[in-house]
Amino acid sequence: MSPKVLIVDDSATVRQQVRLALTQAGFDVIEANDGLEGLDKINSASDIKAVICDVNMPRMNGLEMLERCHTQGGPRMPVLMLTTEGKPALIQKAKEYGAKGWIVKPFKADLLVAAVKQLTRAA
Amino acid sequence: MPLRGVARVFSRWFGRGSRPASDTEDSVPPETDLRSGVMRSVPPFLPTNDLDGSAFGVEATPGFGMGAAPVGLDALAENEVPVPEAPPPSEPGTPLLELVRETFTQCRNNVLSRIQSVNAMTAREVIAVGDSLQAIVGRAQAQVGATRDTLKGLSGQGRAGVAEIIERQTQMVTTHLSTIHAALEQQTELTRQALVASSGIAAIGEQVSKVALQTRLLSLNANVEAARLGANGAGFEVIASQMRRLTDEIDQANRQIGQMAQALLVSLPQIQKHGERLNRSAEAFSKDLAENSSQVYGATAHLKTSLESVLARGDHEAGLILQGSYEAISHLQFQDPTAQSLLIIDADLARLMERVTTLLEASRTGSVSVTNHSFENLEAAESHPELHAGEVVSLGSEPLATGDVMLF
Repeated sequence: MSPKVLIVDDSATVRQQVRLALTQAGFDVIEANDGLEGLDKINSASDIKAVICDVNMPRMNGLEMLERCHTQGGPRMPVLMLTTEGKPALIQKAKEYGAKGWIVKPFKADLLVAAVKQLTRAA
Repeated sequence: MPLRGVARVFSRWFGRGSRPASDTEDSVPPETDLRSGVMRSVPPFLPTNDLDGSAFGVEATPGFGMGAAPVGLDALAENEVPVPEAPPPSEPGTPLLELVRETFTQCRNNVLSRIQSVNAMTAREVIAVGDSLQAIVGRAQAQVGATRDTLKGLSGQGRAGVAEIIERQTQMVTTHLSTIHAALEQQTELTRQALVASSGIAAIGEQVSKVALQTRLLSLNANVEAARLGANGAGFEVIASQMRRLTDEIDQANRQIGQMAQALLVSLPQIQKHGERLNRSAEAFSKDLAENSSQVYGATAHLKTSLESVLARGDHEAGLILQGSYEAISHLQFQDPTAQSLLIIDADLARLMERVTTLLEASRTGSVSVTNHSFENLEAAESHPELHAGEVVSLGSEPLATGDVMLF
């Protein structure tokens, strides 16, 4: 069975591009539009092996979603932030909330795949 | 229209000096008309400052307005100098101010609408390209996989491999030929022994014939003696007759044995000859097979090597296809940051509108002065969104660049 990865991003094109990269590498990908939907899927699906999450999203942004997971005992699976932001302060905050990595858009597909493989192996 | 052009329009509105804007034929160059005819209806309460028509600065004259001291341009940046607040949109401002707001709002709405339309179209097309890319890569990967499975079967990886089947059958034939050869050898030996036995039988038959002859002579002598004895020799007569009869039977049997032995002596050499011929043929076939087998082994080994080379090339091509797909995905990502950059234009227009209305109101009341470079600085400041984001960048730490990956 292919390992399952959740992509949380309000951009349909970004979700598609992440899905393309990961499915070609053998992963199964599910999607969420924003932090609220992402949180719901994290709590309801027990077979998610990794989460890739944008920062700037409506309703609930990525850092808020991460913080909510953190207050609930921390995310069960590795969370990789994928965003146009690159400020050290945001990165530090994400790390404190339990994120395992940070990628600045636009991403290189082979690096994204390598990062996800490494994180899912470590998990 | 660039910011400078918009500002230039306002300078011309202001720059009509003592003349009402409405009674000039060349008051506004046609290319800068934002709303045709509206500017000519601006009431003649505009400040009568003598402005530099090529620039768009406004110098407050002494006594005009509130007489506030002029403030430097860079002091107009947010959070540094308290700029007089523009009247809230709900309150009716001067007709010019309202005209400006209305024009800006319409312009901004048009721009936003077009931006959203472009963003939707580019997103749609990028997704379509992505779907096509996925279909192409999927078909290529499926084809490579099918070819790999086929080649694996041919290369002999597993008992079903063609090359292994050929080799096994060749070995089987060689084994059977060896068995046949051994059987023929044995047959030849048995034939030779049968030939020797047949010769022995013929020799024994001759001896039996001699004995039979002696016996026949003996029976004749017995008959003669029986005749000489007369009545007393009747017993001899009977014995002589029996002996003669037995001798005849022995002769007959001996003749039959002799015929059979003779027949064997004729056929056994032929059998032996055929057996030797078969053996020679089997030996020749075995030799040829051995030579051909080595060629078959060489050919199948070469076939295996070639197929493995093709398999390796196929895997390499599959890797290239995947890499090409990753590069295409990387390029398709232009859409999202482009869309976000375009939306920043809307935010820029909103800020511009705020600034312009504020400056208009401030200039009308004479509470602030501007110099020539107000809009230049505004444009320069607006191009650095980080300065307006309110974020604090850690000192000594560089932000990550696009494409960077950091794992904690």
